[in-house]
Amino acid sequence: MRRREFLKWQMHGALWLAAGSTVAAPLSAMAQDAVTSADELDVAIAKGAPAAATRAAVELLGGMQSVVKPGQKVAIKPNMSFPQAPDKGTTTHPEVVSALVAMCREAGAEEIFVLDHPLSRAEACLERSEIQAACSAIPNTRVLGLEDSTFYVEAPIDQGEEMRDNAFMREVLEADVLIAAPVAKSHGSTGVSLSMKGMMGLIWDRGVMHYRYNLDQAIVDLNTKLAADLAVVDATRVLSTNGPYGPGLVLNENTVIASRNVVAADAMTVSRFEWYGRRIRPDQVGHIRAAHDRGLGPMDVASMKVREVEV
Amino acid sequence: MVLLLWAGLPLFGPADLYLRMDPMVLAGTLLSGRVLDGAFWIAFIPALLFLAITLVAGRFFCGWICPLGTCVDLADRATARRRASPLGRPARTGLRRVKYHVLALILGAALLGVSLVFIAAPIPLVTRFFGLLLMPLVQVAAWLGLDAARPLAASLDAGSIYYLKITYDRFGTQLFLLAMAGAVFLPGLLAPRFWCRYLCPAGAIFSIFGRKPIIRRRVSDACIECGLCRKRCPMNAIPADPHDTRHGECISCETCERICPVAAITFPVSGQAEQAGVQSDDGPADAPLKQRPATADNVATTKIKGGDSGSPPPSRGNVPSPPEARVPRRTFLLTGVVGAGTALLAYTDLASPLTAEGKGDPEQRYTLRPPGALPEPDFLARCVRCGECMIGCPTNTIQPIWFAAGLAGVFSPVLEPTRGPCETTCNACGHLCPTGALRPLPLAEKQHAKLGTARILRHKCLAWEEQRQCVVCDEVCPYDAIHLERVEGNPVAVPFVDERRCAGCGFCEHNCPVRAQRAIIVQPAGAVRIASGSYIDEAAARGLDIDLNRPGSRHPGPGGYEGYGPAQGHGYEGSASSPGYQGGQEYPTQPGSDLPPGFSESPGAQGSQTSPPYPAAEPAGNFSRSTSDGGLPPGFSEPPTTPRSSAPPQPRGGRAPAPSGSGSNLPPGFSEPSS
Ligand code: SF4
Ligand code: SF4
Repeated sequence: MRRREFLKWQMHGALWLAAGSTVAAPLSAMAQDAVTSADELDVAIAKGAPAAATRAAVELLGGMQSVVKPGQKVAIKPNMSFPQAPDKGTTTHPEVVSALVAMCREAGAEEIFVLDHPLSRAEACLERSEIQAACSAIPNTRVLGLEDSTFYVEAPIDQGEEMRDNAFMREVLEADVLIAAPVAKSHGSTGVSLSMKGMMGLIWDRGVMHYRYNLDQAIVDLNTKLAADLAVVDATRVLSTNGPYGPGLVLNENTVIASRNVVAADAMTVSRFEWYGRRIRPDQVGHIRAAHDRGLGPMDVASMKVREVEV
Repeated sequence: MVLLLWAGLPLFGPADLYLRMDPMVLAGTLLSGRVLDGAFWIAFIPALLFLAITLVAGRFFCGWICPLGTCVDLADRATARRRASPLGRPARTGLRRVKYHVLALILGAALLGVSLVFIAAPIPLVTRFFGLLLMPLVQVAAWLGLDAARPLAASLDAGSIYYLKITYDRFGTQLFLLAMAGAVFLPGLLAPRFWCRYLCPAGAIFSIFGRKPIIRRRVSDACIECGLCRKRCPMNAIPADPHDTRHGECISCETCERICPVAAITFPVSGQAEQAGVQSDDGPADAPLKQRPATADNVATTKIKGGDSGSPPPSRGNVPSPPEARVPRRTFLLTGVVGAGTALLAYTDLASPLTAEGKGDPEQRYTLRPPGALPEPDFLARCVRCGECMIGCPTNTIQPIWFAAGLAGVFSPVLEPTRGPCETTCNACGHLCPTGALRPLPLAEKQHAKLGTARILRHKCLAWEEQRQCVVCDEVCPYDAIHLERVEGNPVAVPFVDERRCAGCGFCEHNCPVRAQRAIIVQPAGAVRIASGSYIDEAAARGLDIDLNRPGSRHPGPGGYEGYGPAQGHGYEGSASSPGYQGGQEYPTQPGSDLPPGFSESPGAQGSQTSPPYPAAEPAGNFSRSTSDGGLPPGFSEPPTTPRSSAPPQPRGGRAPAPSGSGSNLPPGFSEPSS
């Protein structure tokens, strides 16, 4: 048992090295550039294979060490709410998640939680999305679909305008760093489901956001409490229609979009791809508009500082 | 004990094996279900085997195999101290017959196709008792214990304990289960193995088969007639003369052999000890319902005693009590008739789903059955209410009901989507069912076994009625049976169910945030219930379009995504033609907005920036609120400002003609050809 785990771990290590080396080449050329401009950069966009693109995008923003400090607890919120294989485009690509986890480890994170409150049976979701398997060999990492209310603690949302409290995963409240890692997809009631909408997977009572509050405003409220330190949108596959469960049109965009600001990341994702076969402006997405109006971040992609890289 | 746990925990072994040993389950289901197929006989080989063994070794099953017997023994041990004085002989003799009446009652009802097996068949009793009553108690105790241990686990950094997942099942009818358990175990206060002696119908069957076993109790001449064996026999199988045995009662527990001070008792193969023992085990109640095994022994005794007529004189003139309880033929028949009467009662029950649904049937709300359930009447006839499907269902959606489906449906399994959905990746229940009331379907078949159809209650739906962004139903539907459309006057897209795609899995109902009845509910209508054949073929034949792996990619044509536009939903063909689908005509799409669902234009034009305001709290004690109606109390009104005469004359006794925009004055139901 132990030996097998060790072997697995070794194998994964080798994979990362391989991934790292493919990233290293193009990155070294502009390393100087990236470091100097990382602070002002709004959005980083990388095209390529999932793991490599994830690394590249985060490197452009100054690397994971600018987000995660040694000894910190990290909570990563991918979308692993559906019992479907990665190619359906409804869940975050497992290699995007494992690359993020690995980078957090490299930056010295002490404990990493990969968390979601799935819509189907957690075991099935974690298994079929392949996220659990992808992260299983990385030490101090837990992939959890928490379905029991005892894992959630009531907490106020101080800046909430409509939703002023809810119950949050304890791990998230205690985490030093929160990383949003959604998959890019459409959503029947909020247009798109990206970093901000994804935060609904960290609370207990989602129903209340539908039946009591205005959903767009409640999502913004939620994001005032769960303000992600880093958003990494997995647009390697974009579920362009019929989200969030699909089946819909899956665009193979091989893109990862990262930003230190969730609104910027989401706005960039909206404007960059086709939705229902047409272009949509970020201000046509209610919760992005509302987040912008409440000062959570920029949604005007034209005025953002963007860097793009292919790996 | 191991056997018991086995019966309660389907995961550890073929739990239904025990059920397939129960002759009551076999006989009752055979009769009520009119089952003749080979698979059934194969499934019940264990029961047939035990009946054959009983011919040889007596009521061996009751003493050695039956988990309920073991439970009764354990309960007896616990209550032994408090046991009342032993029952008088007349009481014992009379009570011994009761089990035959129980048997007759069940068979009588079964004859008319109503299964009452669940009342008293021992193995279903024990599976229900363990699986539906005790297991959940253990589970919830473990869950509470874990919850209490979590802080400690957290402080010890024992994450694997902290994040251990324990769920507990919940079931309806707990009190009923408790009462039944009480009925089985509490009489132990009167006599040991009270249930087995006097009530158990399977015991009655074994008793009939085990009247003349080949391996049986023999008492040698060494017997000093101390009577100890008679006192200790848990089954009261030893009459006043300790040389005698009521073989139909003897469960071969061999207690007597162990305690006999002079070791006079043995359980040899018949014939061996023939000469040694006093041969007196041929009671008058041999009157066999079934043919007796024609052993040499039998023939011999028959000759000696002079025939096997219904009520021969007592074999030993000086022994007043007949060794065997007589099988009371006349009264047996009578109880059979009572059973049949119960069956008739079940048929006349208003809620009875015993006949194929038809005119005048009240709405059958409680027939949302697990996947693979036979057509309703067959299903009820075959289901023995063992609860295995309920125990095995991972989402706890299968629940027992009380009288909701009438007398004939007591304790039958229904789906309760609010508790849990039917997992698309699971087909456990059919494989746990011992009688084939639920068919054991391969996963692909099960995924096409339509359970019912989801319906949206628009007046409760947040999107339809309150114009809120919700559509959780669309979010969770694994079959893509829900699509969204924009309708006039509503800023948010609203859900529609495509009945052809809906499999009735209940994910939508389960996740709908509306309470006190969800705004989308799965109803039994449209369920595919077939006794044989493929569900995939049947779904195709009915024009259903159930598909879990629907290919999603539809590449945008040159003009963009060709499917999306007003009134076309997501562009899959045929949705508008499905039965019951009225979105297109009834709800013209909003002319101004052709945005895909979920998107909206910026400024507050859509009116969805904030939630609708709640009515302001009433100032307390202020009763004289003036309104625009001139402050009149409720019920009063001002005279209309326009003269009454100007109103259009109303046809007497009829309805006012509906205002019609198109100027059509056709009677209801007719329409002009569309131009
Ligand atoms: S198939 Fe459905 S109803 Fe049957 S056990 Fe599985 S989840 Fe439960
Ligand atoms: S619409 Fe039908 S298939 Fe879809 S979730 Fe509801 S019951 Fe299941």
